[in-house]
Amino acid sequence: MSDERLDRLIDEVAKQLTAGQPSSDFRARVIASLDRHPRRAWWTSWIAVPLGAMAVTMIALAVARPFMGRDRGAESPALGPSRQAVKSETAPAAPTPDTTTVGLPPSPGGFGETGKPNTTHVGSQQGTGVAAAGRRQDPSQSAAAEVAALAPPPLEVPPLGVEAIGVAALPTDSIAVTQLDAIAPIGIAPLAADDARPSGGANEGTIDDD
Amino acid sequence: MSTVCVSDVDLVARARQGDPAAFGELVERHQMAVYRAALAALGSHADAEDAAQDAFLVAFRRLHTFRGDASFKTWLLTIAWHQAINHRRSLGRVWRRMVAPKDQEEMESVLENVAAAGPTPEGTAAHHELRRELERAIRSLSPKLRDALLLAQSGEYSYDEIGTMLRAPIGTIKWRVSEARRVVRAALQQRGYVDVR
Repeated sequence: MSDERLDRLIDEVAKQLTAGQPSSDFRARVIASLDRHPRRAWWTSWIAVPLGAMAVTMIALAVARPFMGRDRGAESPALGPSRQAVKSETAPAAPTPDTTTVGLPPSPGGFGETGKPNTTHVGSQQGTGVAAAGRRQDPSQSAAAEVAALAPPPLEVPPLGVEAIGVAALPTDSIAVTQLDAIAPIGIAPLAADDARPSGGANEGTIDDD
Repeated sequence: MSTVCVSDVDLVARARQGDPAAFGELVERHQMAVYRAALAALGSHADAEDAAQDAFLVAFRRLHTFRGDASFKTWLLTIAWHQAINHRRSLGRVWRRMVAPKDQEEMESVLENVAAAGPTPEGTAAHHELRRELERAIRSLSPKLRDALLLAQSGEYSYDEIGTMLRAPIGTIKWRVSEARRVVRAALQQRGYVDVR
């Protein structure tokens, strides 16, 4: 068989492999599919994408805010003095450090600022108005407030009543050091050359060969 | 409004404005070309119809991107070929389904017609077998050669359109068609069909 004839046969078979036509209702099915999936305007993506990004950002901020507030209270030294200053205006200076270790509401003296969630939220509920106004209200805090409302009433621990030790009561006299007597020099006589081996029990550095 | 004398560009403009009838006319005009491109890539009538339908759907959604640099048919065929190739990658078993039962029946009738011209029953049987071997050899071509050969021989597309679809220069497409023929001939000669008359 010549190459030309074989090529014609190849072309015929190739044409046959792509022969055919779509079904008679093809156009109707395409139009129906267009109705099922209406065309979006080109500008929808320009609106949908920024809106989606904004929504994601807002959700992320809402989720991260409680953690940010907690971290700020525990780690940020810049905010510490201002809070302390605000609280010192309204609170007496009566330190009760034991209340923080047992999870009780923080004392007004400021020792309750430990960063623990329970003490923080309780403090926000029971603190003074000035302290509460300094904090932002958000959903998580309101939820925490609801939880705190269900908590048992805080224990009232009376102050220990330890009297402060006055500085004046301490002895401030200088400590007088008495001069010791001078030590008399000890004379050491040199050993004889034929008596280098120590006698008696002072045998450190020797090896017993028994 | 009659669409007989309306150009594709006008129909596209109307379809962009939300006229479904205009897009329906575009479907009517180009469904055969889109379908056959998909059939060349997929080898199955059912898959080709699905791919063609997807191609028109994608084209409808992307009508705003048609700038008229090329003809609408070329633009549409590019989308159709892309859709068909995506189907082919996802199917992975396309060429085993090259001849579905329905296609097999069609092929049988064609072969019978061709064979009817044969002088003797022996000659008819030999011709029949030769075409089967040809079909098998075409199926086993590499995708690049096979796509070029099938698209070129479908009679639906110019070399320019094929080059756009396959993203290759016209010279490359022509070479691929020629090379596909040569590889098929070599395959047949290996199987002992050199001296078939």
